[in-house]
Amino acid sequence: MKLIKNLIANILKLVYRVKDEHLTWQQNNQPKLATLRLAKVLAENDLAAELKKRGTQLEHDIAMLKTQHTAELAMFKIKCQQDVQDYKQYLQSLEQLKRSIEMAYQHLPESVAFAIHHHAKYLLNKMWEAQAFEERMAHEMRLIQFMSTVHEDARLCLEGSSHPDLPEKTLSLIQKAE
Amino acid sequence: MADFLLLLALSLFVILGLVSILKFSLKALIDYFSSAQRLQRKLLFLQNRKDTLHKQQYFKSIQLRYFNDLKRKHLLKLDNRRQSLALARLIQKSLNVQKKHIPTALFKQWQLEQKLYRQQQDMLGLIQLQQKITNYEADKEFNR
Repeated sequence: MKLIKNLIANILKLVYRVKDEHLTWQQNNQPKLATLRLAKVLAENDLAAELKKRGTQLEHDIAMLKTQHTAELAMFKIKCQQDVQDYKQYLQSLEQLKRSIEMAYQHLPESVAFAIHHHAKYLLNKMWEAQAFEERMAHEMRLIQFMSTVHEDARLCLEGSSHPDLPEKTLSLIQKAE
Repeated sequence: MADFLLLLALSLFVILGLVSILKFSLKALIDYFSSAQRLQRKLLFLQNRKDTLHKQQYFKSIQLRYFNDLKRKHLLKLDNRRQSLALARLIQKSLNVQKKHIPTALFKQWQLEQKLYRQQQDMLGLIQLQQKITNYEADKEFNR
């Protein structure tokens, strides 16, 4: 029993000594500890302020982005609708092209008029499906050249200054393409 | 006595362990709800939202392009059908006119071809068929 009492007393002594040392250490380093605590609080405040600033900036960015995206989508939608309208008009002008060649060449076999129309439509689709801008422009040039050749042939035929049976320039263009 | 001491030591060890766990949990909880962490989480949320907006824009433009292409293809299909119908009617008309001068088997074959190409909207096939009929008529005229 005495042994246990001694043991507990020793342990208590040790605890008190450690506590004393701790207190002394805290007393000695009080200014440093205070500075450290202050620095920590300041750093936390700075970090909070910085995070808040970045948050506000991001919120602003998001609002701007939403407006920009809405505008861009609206523009893109209009462009798409315009594209479809343009395509429709191209198809109508190709139909007109076929009619003008049929009117100019009275004895032209129907298959030739349809072949001309078919080739023009092939060029139109090639142009529309081209991905690169340069490629699209090249196809557009070919289509425009083809259409102007057909109109030129029709005009010359109506004026009586070309072959009365066949639109030769147009047919040679189709043969070249093939 | 030794048993009692061992039990005491073990209980002390367990109690100390539980207190440490509680202390760490409490500290983690306080940290989680601290202003810095809350702001950090909000920042991450906003950043994520910004990225989502970019992705949404990209997919919306792809969707628009897809529907636009669908509309264009529909227009093309309508035009193809109109053209192939017109040419098929002309071919049928030529066939009906030449019915008496064309052998029945050939007439039926051309009629079948005409129907098939019209259904497939195969303009090239129809054009070639019309050319065949025209050439046949021309050959007949020449032989007479």
